[in-house]
Amino acid sequence: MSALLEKTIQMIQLTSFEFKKLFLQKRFHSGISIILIMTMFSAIAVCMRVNSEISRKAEMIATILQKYVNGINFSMLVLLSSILIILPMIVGIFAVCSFAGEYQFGQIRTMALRPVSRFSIFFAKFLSLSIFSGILLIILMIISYTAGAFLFGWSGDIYVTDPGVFGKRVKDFFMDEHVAWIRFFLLYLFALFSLMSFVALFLMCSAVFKKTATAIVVPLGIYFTCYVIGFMPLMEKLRPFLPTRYIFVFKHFLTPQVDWSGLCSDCVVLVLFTAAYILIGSIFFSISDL
Amino acid sequence: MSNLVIEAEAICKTYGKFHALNNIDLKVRESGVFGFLGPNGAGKTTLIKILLGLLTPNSGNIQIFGKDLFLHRNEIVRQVGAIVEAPVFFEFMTAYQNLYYLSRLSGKISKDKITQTLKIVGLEDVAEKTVDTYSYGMKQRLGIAQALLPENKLIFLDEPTNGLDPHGILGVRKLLRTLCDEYGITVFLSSHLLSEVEQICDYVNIINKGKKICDEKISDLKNAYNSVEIQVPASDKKLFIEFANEKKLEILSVPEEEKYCCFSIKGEENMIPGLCRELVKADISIIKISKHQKTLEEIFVSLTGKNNTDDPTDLFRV
Repeated sequence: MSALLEKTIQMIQLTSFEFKKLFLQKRFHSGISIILIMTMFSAIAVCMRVNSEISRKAEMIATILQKYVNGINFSMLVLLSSILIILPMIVGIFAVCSFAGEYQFGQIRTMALRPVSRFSIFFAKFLSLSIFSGILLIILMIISYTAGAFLFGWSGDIYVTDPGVFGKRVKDFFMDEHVAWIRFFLLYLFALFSLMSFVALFLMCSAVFKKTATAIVVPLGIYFTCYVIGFMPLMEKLRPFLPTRYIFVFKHFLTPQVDWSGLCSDCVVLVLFTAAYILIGSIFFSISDL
Repeated sequence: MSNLVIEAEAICKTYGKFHALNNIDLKVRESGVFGFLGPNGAGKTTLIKILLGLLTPNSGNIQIFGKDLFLHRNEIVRQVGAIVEAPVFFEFMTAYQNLYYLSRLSGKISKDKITQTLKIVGLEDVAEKTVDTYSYGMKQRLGIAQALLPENKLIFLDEPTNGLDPHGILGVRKLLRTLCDEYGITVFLSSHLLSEVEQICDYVNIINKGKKICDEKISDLKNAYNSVEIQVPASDKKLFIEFANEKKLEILSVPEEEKYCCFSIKGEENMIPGLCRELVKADISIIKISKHQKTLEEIFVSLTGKNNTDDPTDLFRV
């Protein structure tokens, strides 16, 4: 029991150390700056779309947009557009710098000289980066909702256009205000699981390649390749095996009726992928020479 | 005989076909300063990394504080501090923060202890400055402070005086002797500065090309290399060699000059009077006869330079 307590305390100390490192560097500030810029440009784009001169064909959609755009779906829109590229890149680069970077410059060795297992060091990095991702998402949620609410309205029913759920087309639909609020929070919560999976993928590649540049390029290559393959008609049989099929598990909340069993099974697979990344990464780290 | 802090047997480490360490045995006694010498690429850092559990050897047994390193690594490392290769820290943190967060991983640490350690290494005035503003010498001092915390019984220092000014070097020497003599800490010092090792170490271990070539008390090693230098006219060279063979004297070297030959023979200074009498009897002219005490540097060069079929890797060819 005391050994377990000691291990837990050590893990908390390691995680707080990692967390402190993330915050003391300017990286945290750059993360928030990117979120602010992303929200600002999204707000400008939506404003232009709502107030633009429109063709007859798009007149009906524009009317709907003008009526149903508010803080909730503006924040959802900002999340969906940023979680495809910007957020994975931010957390990925931070993960690589905190692992492969420290490996290259020798700080990992300074930590490994202490009585901590290498798995603990690896897992503490994963935990601190996951908390960091959660904080980024909360900041994104607050900023984007506030901007959307200020520009388009605080709340109301929303109109959901096709988000492209797992390669299937979903018809546009209206969502009641109270359902929209629940879906809004669930969307952000499950987006955190996606980012955690990205963190684990980048950490694994850092442990395998140990060079900063390679550890950034390879997982981004894997991610974009899988993403593109997932949309190719001839690759349908391959789709269930691709990590990108499960990484956007939060998209289940953008359908008229949530497929809870599908959501659960997708979550299990996502957790398994993430656990596999952590396991492979920590094994590579444990056997590597420092 | 004092207790052994490190006892390592038959350590082998290979990188592909390259043998970095070949059957190395090591015994480090408690409360002493142990000098670890070897030319560049001899395997010093590799061995230190293995002893700290940062590298896995291909074979060998290592016991530190009487416990198996591979079974009780965390327990052992709790009492061990080290600087390996170069002092590396989190540059965006202050010296105090670095020491606090790192030593906290080894157990309880008090603020006073950190402040006291920073004072010992002379960094108390810059403790709140971030490490990126430090010079290399200051980082070395911080590295030593890090190796001392929280309360380590064994410290490994890999070239700890690199980048230090003369005052700093002197300070480190005094500090290491104090740590050993007053606090009973065992210091494992790897250095290229042979004069430094000669001045502060009790024991020395020399390795070359992954093999141990010497493991002795420094005073014993120097005594073993005591010699007597005899300078005779070049015309008496042949006569002296015959005399040496007859008296079974071991000639170590014969540096030739134009007029004189200076023989170096193995022996202590107390043999000089008798030797003078014998030489006079044998009608050999003596120009000069004196005791010669080899420095550690000369011993190191003779041990790592001779009987090597391969060229040393660290020789400048001028």
